[in-house]
Amino acid sequence: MVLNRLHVLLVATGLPILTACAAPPAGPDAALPIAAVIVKPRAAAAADDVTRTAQDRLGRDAGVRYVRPLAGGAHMLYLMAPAKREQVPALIERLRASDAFQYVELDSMMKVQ
Amino acid sequence: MIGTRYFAAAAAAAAAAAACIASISIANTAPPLTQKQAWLRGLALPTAAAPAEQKISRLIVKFRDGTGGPAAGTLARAAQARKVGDAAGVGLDHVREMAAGASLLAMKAPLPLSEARAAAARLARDPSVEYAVPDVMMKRMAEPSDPQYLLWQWNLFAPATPYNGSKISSSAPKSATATGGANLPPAWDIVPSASSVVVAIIDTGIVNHPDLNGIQAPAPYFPGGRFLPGYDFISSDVGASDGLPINFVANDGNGRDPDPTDPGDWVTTAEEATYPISCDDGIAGPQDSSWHGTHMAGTLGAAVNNAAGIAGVAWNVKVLPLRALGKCGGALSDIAEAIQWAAGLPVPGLPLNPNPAQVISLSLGGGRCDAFMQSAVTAATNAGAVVVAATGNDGTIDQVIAPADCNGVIGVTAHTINGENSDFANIGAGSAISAPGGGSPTLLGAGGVTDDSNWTGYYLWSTLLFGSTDPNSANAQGQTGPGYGGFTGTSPATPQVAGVAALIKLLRPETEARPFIRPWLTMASSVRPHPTGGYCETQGQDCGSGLLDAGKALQAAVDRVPAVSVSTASRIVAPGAFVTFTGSVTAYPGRTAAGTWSASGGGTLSGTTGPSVILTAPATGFTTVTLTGTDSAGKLAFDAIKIRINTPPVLGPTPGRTATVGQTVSFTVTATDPDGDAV
Repeated sequence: MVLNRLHVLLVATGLPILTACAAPPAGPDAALPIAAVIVKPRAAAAADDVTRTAQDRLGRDAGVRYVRPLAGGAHMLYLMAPAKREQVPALIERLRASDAFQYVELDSMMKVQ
Repeated sequence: MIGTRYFAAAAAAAAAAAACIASISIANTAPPLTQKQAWLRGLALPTAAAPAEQKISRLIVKFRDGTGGPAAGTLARAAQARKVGDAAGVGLDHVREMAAGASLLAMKAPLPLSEARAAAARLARDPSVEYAVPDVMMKRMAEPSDPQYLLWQWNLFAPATPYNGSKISSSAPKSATATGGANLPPAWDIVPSASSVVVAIIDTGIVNHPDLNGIQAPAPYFPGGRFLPGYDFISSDVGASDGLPINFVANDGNGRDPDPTDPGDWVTTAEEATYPISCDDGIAGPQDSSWHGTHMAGTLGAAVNNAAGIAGVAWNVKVLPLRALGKCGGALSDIAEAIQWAAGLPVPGLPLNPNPAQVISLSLGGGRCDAFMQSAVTAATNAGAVVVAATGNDGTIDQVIAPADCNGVIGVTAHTINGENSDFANIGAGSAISAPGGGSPTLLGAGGVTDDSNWTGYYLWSTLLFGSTDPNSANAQGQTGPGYGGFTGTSPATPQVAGVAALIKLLRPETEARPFIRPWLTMASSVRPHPTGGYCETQGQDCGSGLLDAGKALQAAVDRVPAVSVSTASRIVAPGAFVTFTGSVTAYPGRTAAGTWSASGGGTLSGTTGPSVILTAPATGFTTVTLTGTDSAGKLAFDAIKIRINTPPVLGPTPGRTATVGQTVSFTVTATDPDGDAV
């Protein structure tokens, strides 16, 4: 059910659905992202290129799904299975180590104060 | 989530003072017509009439060809004025020379302010003109007469105002004084009546309220009066990686759209249990809808002199409500993009904001400033916006949250009615200024006895809905619709600072004033000191430069005082340490300025001039290092940093012991602190 909702969302935004190509789904929750990350390429890049660069960096350890472009030339990506939530900090560090990205940040939550 | 806890406390106090709350409900007043009702009856739509524009008869012009004044020759200057005036299509007569080389010129015929600005802009295109601005009439405005302002809004009062829950009551004793008040009355006295400044409130959205857009709740929100259309930035998939369902945070059934209506952000007990990472606030039981954005919008810009409710800090600006927080919070990505959109910058997939904001108010936050948020803030400030954000409600001394800790943001901590730093307010690097945020009711009266039985001095009062869930719902007392309620937090402190920044923008709309908005607002000569004997004054922590004082800030803008800033790496140093202070003095365009360093409280400075000095710290106590800037018009301003000289604890003697291998040896260690600090 959740998978269907997410699928509908991506179609509705008109963005390409770029699913992970590194590994098969690991279970019923495999369609859920384990993290939303914000990446800023050092040079303007298309969605496919951003996704491929991130996927190449993470190899088969995690799936990468493109979500949408962001203001200022950044992009949002989902990190997916087979990686687990506790691996997110390490995955982000691996992406940060790529020369292709100016920065990589977790899309965290903020609250009213 | 401390903010929610304080709101819960507010709700509890409101329940305890139910009669008082009921008395301020405006649900029983005749509701204004909705847009639809007015249209159906063939009546004028219920939007506030555009304010009449001030007529301008004079322009202030600075020519490039010298310093002006008597040396330039009045006749020559008059001829020059006529020449550039004719070229710009506006007849000008020379009136007199002014300080700093400017000339006061009279127009042949008065023009409305907007046309006078256009004429000034045409003049400024002449190569011989350095700048040209309308000589705006400083219109004295009466203090608002709104009933809840007079009764409860201690946070806006002049600091010497007696306060006992009713400023105007003469029968009850007045044991409290609103020494923490932001001193709006003198600022309102000098601010122009124009409404050209746009302030964006990025929060939970907004609802109709008679004291805001002039339209009766419930939803949907409809722009009216000075309240602009706004936008809903909450994406459908916020929190998906934490397991939140699609549109759970948005709570309005969809993602981004042009409707900033706050549908409510209540969280059920079951939702807290199901999504603890995102939604558990650590307090048992459900979370009622906060109507947080509506409260912030009222603090900033509620209508005045309408015989109802409260007064906004900047009740003559336009308010742009942007929704980026929903159930359980909001995404960094949505908030950062809302900041950029607010400033008029492009955001993929969205139309450009037709009403770019000059001030952006963020009563939200979390985590530390990261690259994406920093880039958003930098882009917004480069576009000319002043960005103001809450430091957070964790009660920490070194964990100012994002975005308040981002470079270029004015971070706002909070203080109580007596000026003491609020116990919940975060302080530390990134705290630029303190504004009223409430709390500490026992400080209201001598010995903890308060004559403020309804705790009105504990809270900051503003616009709300009564409902616990959606805009049509009722609260536990059966109340529904629009009303007023109290919040504490660095949240309500923030739109007060944003509002005063907007007032400065109103007073000085010229481009040249942009770099001066922040220093006029926050430097030490523009604020009131933290109270003597209070936490910030005695502990040497960074609580910002002082208490928000709208009167002093606006006077700095009137005088166009130089911008002065001082920084240092550490505020707590060892005896005899060499501490470097760096500073700058920037004169307003058309003037020159110089700075002088001084120190009080002990220690010696390496010099009195230059961009930096080195203090040799004294043996103990506090030292304040001040940089005073004086300009060619005789106007001065200063900034200062107070450091604490702290000696580490000293261990007492420990007698030698002899032990065998494997034997457990116990020692009793004593320590004392030369400064008298607890060890």
